Amino acid sequence: MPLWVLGLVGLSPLPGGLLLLLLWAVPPLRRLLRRAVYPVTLAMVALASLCTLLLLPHGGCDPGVVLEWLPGSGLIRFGLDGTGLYAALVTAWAALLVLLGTGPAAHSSAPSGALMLLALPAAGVAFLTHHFLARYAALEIVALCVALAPLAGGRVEGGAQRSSVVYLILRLGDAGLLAGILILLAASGTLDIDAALQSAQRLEGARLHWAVTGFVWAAWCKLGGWPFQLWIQAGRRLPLATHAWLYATVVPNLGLYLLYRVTPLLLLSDPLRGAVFWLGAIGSAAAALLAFVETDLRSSLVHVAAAQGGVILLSAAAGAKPAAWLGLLVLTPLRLLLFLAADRLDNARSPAQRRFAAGLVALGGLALAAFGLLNLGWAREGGAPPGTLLLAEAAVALVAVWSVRTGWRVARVPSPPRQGAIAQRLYHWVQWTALGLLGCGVVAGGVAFGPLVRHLSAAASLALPAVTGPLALLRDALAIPVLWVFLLLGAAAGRLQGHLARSRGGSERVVGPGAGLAQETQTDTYNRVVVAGTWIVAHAARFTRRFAEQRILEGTVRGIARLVTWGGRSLYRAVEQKGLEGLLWRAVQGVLALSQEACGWHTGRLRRNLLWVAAGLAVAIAALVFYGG
Amino acid sequence: MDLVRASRLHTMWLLIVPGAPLAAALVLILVRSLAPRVASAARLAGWIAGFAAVLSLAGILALLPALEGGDVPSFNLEWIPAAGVQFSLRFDWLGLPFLVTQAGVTLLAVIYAWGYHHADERTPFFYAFLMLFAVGMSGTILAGDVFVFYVFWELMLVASCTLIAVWGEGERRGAVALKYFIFTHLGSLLVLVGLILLYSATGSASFAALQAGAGLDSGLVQMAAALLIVGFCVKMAVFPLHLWLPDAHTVAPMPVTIMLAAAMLSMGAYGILRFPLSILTAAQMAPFAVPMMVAGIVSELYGALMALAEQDIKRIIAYSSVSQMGYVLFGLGTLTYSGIAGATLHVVYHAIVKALLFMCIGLVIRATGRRRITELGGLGKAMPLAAVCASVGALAISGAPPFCIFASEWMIFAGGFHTPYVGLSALSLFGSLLTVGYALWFAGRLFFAGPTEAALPALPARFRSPWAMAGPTAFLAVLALVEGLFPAPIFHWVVAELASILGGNW
Repeated sequence: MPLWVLGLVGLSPLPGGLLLLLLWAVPPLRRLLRRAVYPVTLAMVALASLCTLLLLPHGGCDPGVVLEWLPGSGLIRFGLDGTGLYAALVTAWAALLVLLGTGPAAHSSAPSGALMLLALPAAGVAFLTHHFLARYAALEIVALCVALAPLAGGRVEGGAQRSSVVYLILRLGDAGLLAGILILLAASGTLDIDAALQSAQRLEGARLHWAVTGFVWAAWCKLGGWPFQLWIQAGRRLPLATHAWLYATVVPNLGLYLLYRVTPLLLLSDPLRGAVFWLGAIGSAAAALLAFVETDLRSSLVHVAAAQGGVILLSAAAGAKPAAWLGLLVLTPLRLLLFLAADRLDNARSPAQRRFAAGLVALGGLALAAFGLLNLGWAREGGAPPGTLLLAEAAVALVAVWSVRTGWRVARVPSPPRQGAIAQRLYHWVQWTALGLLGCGVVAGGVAFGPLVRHLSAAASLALPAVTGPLALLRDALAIPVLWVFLLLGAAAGRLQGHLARSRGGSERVVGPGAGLAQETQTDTYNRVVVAGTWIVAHAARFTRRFAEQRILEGTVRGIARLVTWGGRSLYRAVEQKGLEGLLWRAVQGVLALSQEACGWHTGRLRRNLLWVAAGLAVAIAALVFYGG
Repeated sequence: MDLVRASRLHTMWLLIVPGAPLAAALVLILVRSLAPRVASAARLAGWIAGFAAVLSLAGILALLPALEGGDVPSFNLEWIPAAGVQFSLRFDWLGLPFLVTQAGVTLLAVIYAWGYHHADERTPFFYAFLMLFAVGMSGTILAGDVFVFYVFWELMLVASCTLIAVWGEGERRGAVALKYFIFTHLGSLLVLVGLILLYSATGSASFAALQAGAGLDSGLVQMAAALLIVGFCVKMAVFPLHLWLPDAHTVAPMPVTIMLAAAMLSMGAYGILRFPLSILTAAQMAPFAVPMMVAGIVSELYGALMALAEQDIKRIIAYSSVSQMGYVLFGLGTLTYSGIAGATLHVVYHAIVKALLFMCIGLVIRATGRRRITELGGLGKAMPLAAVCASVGALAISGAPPFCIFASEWMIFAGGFHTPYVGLSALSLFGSLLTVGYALWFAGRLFFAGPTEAALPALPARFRSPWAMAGPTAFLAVLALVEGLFPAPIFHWVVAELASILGGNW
């Protein structure tokens, strides 16, 4: 089959999504459509995923798809280079898995399904195009789909406001990206990504700084790095598929791929590189801390993924170019595993199911931490400053602690009784099977990580950095003191909570870290020390959350919004109503007064008129003398 | 023989472009006596105006093959021989995008007026003045002579001012019309002085002679260019010369507002392109680059801030025009290929989107009778078409792909980054987020959020708009999408004009 046919079939979700939207616009068809949304979305996504898989053997071939969109901006080419193709493949299969893993109950809204179908080909275009304009437009379309999701959900409270916030933050990132692209365009005269990035090597001074800052800014926004995670969190009330795939997978993957492409630019400027090191380290630490104190599981998953984004940024700044690409391939299934397992926890109908899902949450979190360790190794080799490494190590340790603690806690919450029709039960088992397969895939990938990376390296024609084996990784982990400190604190907290639960004589409800710890007085000295230590850490974390996240960050956003509105209104009152209007009014009054005065000199008494005539004649004579002479 | 016939045919179409609306205006004055009943006279007047607008647009499209064939259709007639003034019309690439925009907007505004305008005894006169307004704009674009240009320029002002003064909404319409007249006439006077300076320097009033008159004194050039740019900026409503715009847009009846915002503002950009940028060289224009870029950015930010601060939905979109014209001025000020092409493209796309947004506002006002945004909200379910169209308009004006303004903003910003002033370009780029802010707030608040302060009047479950209002609105929403997906045809028109800009040396 010709490659372009495969490509076209791969784009089939686009007309599918448009068709869903069109049919939804006809009110009598909406009820019928409600049942068809899930099968249609699933079929389209499956088709696209299959096409991407079939394209894989053709990696490196030129599909010969060239088109011109905006004249003068050059021909838009699409390529099947390994890195982009794998990124598209992982993202498409993530969509399929998330659909299988969530079932039809969460997919009754046609606009939500349509947005998913529109975002999938747009993301594919962004991964596979070699043209900056097409890539930027595709990213913007994905951003639009993401932003419209709260509105498409229909029942989300404050949907319009959420949509606006999400779109504004994503556009803020894209403004940086556009600045970077246009600086490269001015320097190279082309929008071809490879050629433009080559020409960036010749950039100097302010232009280089603007370009690199723009690209990093855009990648960080898309990754949902602190403090930009607000946009991903805005999707936590949406159906799981939308939140897990559209919010937490597609856009961060696009951010990681962008980071992968621009990593060589980070090495061109030392001051900027230093700033990026610190951005990655502080961002990862802040996100990990937020995950640790977050009480909502879905929200903490977002923070955990953001923490990994920070660590990847750190290793990218250290010069490990493929770290971001490998991160994309690794983080996608892990993120998906965490989200789907969290969803299954809510729908578990027996303690065994619950324990299985909790185990998968712990597995996913620990795998993330292990990948973080790998990245830390690359960052260390690349000469990252010790301070940044320390912060990132703390972040990885916190993620590891979070994984074990969350898995342990959620496993003990009682499950609701078994109920539902046969069809529902069938879907229920499909979802569990999908989750189980994903879990097996993660375990297999972890066990055979070295050979897998070597295969990917060969397939993508990419020199990947050295990958240590699981044992070496464990040895590295044991050599990190920060990890020990946090592991000990976490273990102490777990032990104490078990003790508290026993003393209460019942199972404990999961409400958050350190919950209820300070309310009990312990006689045991050991327990007192543990209580005090855990109390301090938990309250420090809560304090950070309350002040850094809720007051400072959200307060800043609210403050900026208020400031802009207040500034606009004040300016409006001062300039439009008083200043310029006032000036205009005073000018009119002045002209009127002058006219009345002049009128008084023209009319009225003859004496004044004669005086006016005499003065006029004098001016005329003077003019004649000057010019005539 | 065929050439002569083709030339005559071109001349005929050329004369039809301003001639059809002019003839319609004259006929419309007689309509009241032809159809004694008010309703039938109003209907007849609407159809006559619509037919004239269609004919005018058809004339432009009929002339396109001539342009593509390298011909420049023109018409010359001795007008004031003693002063060497000719009645000269010419149709070239530079005028094409503006002329198509103006004729298209006029046609849609007339159709919209069929549904919006309440029929009364003066309705034929309303359409007559709408036609005169269109004649003023098309004549300004087609003028081949400075004198003719200025005559049509003022006709545009007189006709629009009359429409505001007589058919405006509210008690303040007289004062607003006066303010509009004084402001824009001051701008016109600056333009007049600039043109007189050029005329006296070159000794000819024809555009061709002005363009050829390269040996102008540098001091004179600076003076003339400054006067012309400031004068045209008044028409573009760039901050701080915009004070006429919010009031005029708010008070004018909706079809007039649509023509003012979507077509007349672009006349300022056309003036800058036609005179300073066509007559002077890049070196002569260089001192004006940074002031124009800075003024553009200030206007872009200021207009967006004002739109965020406003409560009246018509004024929000009116201030948005101040902001959007800032983008245009910034693009022109870059003096680069991308910047100027982007600015011209932006004028066309802004016309589509601004007309669309005003039409949506018209639908809302018609349905609710309210204009304060705090008294409105959650209209999406009752007015799904308006909600979809306004969302398209809001996203388009935010520069989101796949809608049309994305392409023009891309080119404007690309032009900015081709200059040495990266900081200014970045400021303009990040300033565009304010546009996103007010556009999303406007559409989200009106259609997707609930009312907060006051209860809405009882709307039926689904409000049915008259087809004459809903049709053009839906058409423009589709056009905003189609133009975004396929920008090439209009882009080629715009690029063809660049051969005559800044000496054509790119």
